[in-house]
Amino acid sequence: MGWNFNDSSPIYQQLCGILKSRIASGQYAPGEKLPPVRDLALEAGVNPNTVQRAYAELERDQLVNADRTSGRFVTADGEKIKTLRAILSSGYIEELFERLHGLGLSDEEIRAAVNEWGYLK
Amino acid sequence: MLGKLLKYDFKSIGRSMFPVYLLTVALSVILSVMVRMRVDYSKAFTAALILFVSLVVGSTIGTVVLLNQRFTRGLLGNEGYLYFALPVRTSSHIASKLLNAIIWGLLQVVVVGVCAALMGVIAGEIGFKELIEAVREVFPRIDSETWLRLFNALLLMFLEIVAIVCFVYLCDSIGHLFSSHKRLWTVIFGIAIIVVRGKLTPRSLSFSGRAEEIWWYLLPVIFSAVYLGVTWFILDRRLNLE
Amino acid sequence: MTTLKCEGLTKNYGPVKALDSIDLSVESGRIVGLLGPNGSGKTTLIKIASRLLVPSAGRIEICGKAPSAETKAEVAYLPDRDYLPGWMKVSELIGMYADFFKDFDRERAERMTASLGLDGNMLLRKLSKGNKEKVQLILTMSRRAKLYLLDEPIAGVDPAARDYILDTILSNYDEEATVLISTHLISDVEKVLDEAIFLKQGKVVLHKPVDDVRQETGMSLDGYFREVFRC
Repeated sequence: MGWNFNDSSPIYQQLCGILKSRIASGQYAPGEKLPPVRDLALEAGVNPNTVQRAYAELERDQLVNADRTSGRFVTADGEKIKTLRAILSSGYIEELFERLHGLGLSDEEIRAAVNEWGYLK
Repeated sequence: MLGKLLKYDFKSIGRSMFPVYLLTVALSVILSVMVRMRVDYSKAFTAALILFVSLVVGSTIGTVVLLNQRFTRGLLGNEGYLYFALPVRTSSHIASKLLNAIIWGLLQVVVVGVCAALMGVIAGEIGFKELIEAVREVFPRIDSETWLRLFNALLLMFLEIVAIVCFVYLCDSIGHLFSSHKRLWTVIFGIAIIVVRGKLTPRSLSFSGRAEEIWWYLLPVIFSAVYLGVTWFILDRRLNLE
Repeated sequence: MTTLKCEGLTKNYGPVKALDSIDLSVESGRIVGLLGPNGSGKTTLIKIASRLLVPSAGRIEICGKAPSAETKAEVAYLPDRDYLPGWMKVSELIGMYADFFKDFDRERAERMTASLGLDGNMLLRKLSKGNKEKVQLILTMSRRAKLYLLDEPIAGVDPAARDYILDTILSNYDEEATVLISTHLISDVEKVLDEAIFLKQGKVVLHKPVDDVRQETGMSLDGYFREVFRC
């Protein structure tokens, strides 16, 4: 039931991460209305307070704006979303480098492998 | 809340009692018709009498058992989880079970009366007209003092029966306190209470239905109150549903 | 609002201490897990809160009041057993709950039984075990109570039914109410909980938000539970 979460970090943080990805990818489009807390809680299979906390974080990061009456909306500010995408991407890239370092590749080799992979695709 | 409880308890007893009463009446009619058709008059009366007695005993035992079951299953069994979760005081639970026992007990008496009348009419070949004439003759001959004594006797009988019901409830509740051998403890305490009551009953008084002998009436009332009080304490403070 | 408060709550069964001086306070708007192995006192605590048992010592308050017939009107208790009379129909039970509980949402109960494909005219004893448990849950969750006490609501139930039960609990969420779920199946309910209470041999050994447990231990609630209660 609901979404899958791992065991190691608080669920609200993981939920936050999922929502950020959705915003970055455009699944939640700029200016789009986010699901109400209860609906998202039911969909994700988590406690409504958890959703509340995740939304609060997004608001703090100014990725989401709350309107008292009509709900929560993804920011229409294209710059913020671009920045988010950049932050998430660099996070993945860092992870890639860490893992491949762990396999013994050097930075040069990593870049070459990425290029090759890109061409083959 | 008590009213609602009474309603639900009444319905729940009704669904088992009603068929029993219906069966009793039906049986008394059927059997007395059979008796009338097969046997000659003098034997018919005896046969009908035996029939009647067995039916009365049977349905009375049935009523008693079913009423007691309502108490033990409804409050002390799994259903207790349902009933004790209702926003109702423990005293109301006991009152509802007791009042229902009285109502259904009286209904039982009515059913027996109806069966007796039916059997008399059908098997005993007592005509309805003759019955009314007999009543008309006898009633004016009964003076008011005799009526009073009759009334007092019935009242005493009623009070004693109520006391018995409260006694049974108390025994069930005491049995509930024990986790094993509940029935055994119920019986032991039952006997103990009977013995104690016997010791406390004054032997010197004799009953003749006169109004002055108030002690005779107070005794079952006091004992009922004590039984109910202890039952309440057990159900309210010592309840331990499994 | 503090819906449940215990101070030095103790319950003895002869020499056995089922609850040993419990101090506890639970606020509204939370879904709280009452977690512990069998025999740790979970059911005893729940029964005392619903006044099916009286304490041996200490105090307990439901919404600031001592347990009574009055507080029973604010508490919705779902026992860990088959407690409904088999001879009653589903519709009769709904009627009975509506009759006794002012906060019972009859429409909701009827809607939910319909959505399960159950006919109100069905006798309870004719229902499958799973359906019977769902009916018990529906009756409990259709109350608009202040304190819900669910004793092992998902044990002995198949995974699809488990999802249904947790979904029902979530969609029933009320800011003014507390839901206390007692279970030993922690990984199933963890996502749904705000706070966790660990009960060990009648004592409270933990009472924390689930997020804090994860943050501080780096483990899931289930994982941490296994550590704390390692045999």
